[in-house]
Amino acid sequence: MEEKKEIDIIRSVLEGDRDSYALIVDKYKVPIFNLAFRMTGSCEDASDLAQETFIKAFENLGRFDQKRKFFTWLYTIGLNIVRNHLKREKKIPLRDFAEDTDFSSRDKSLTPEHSLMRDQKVKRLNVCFHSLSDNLRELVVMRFYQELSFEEIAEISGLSLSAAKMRTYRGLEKIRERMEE
Amino acid sequence: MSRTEGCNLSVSVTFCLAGCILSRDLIYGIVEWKRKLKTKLYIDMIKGISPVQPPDDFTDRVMLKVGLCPSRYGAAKRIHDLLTRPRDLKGFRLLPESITKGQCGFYFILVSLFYLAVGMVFLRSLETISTTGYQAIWLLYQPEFSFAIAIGFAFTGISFISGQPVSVRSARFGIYLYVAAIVINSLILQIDMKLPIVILALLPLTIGSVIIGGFLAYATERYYCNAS
Repeated sequence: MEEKKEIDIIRSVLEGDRDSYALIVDKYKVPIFNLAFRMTGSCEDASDLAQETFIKAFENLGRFDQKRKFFTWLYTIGLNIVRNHLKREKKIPLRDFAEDTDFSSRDKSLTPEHSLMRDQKVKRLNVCFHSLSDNLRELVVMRFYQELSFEEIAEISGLSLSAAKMRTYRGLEKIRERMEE
Repeated sequence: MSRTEGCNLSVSVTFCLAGCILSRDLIYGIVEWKRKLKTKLYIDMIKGISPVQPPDDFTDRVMLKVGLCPSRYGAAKRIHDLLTRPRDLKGFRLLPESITKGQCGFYFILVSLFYLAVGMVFLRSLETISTTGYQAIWLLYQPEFSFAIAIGFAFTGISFISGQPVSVRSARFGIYLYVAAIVINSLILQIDMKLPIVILALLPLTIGSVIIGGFLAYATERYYCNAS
């Protein structure tokens, strides 16, 4: 879906064609769901939070500044919803994170032994990742899980470009330190 | 020790020192290189994890809920959206790119103190006017008007500083109300005092107050953009 077409869809939703909103949901459900999933570690919570994000975006669509990128606006809503959820549910047991992840690799060329070793490392990585503070975790998710640009991260998180870069790498550095403990 | 031996010794010491520095830098370089390599490994590992797919009926569930949302795009909703939409103020650099709720609250408290002072001045000045039997009734309410603004902004400032979730919304509403009240108050004063010359005093005061309102709105938007 091109940017111009996306704006046309938003306009038609604003004019009352609600069904067009399904196109927007289809396009962005994976990144929004994954943001919620990586932050909470629970599929059920992620599904609820992602749904809440799309509903809130629909309700506030009239306030969307059409000169901005829709994805960053939607992602900001999603991030705020996830932050509020995490504030409410402070205590999530760490052991869940090692089990609750889809480890299927994009690299299909690995042998079964290598694949097993890699999965164990990824499990450990996931536990280390979830031991980060929420602020650092969200930046690592945006940059490395979702591969957003630092400009997008800065816009979504409200940080300056340099602060976004610095904190993201601080998060990554902490993961590295904890992996080596 | 002969002069040649001394010279040789100093050359050897210099080489030793240079060697130490080089080997220290080399070791540091190797450690740094290994650290970067490991970090790169973790980045690749994270990037290699497949994204999790949402449930198959995800879009249907969202659309079902969207269908239950009330139709909100009437005239009232459009006006509400127009007034409350965050503005792109990137080209305007009166304040820093992002300001905290504490800073934003501080601006409101400052304006509150300003109106408190204005109210006190009015109170003191009108004591003499009221004894002369002056007929402009609306003028006599100016201290109360200033105190009401001071109290309103003080509450807004405190709610910002204490991090109340309604503060951005209430601040916006308060600023619109403030600007409208200032303009209406000036018009009533002008009509009530029946002196054309009054406009010369009222106009700069009104413009100044509207600029204060604009500054507060700008600070609120900056905070809002930062917070969201």
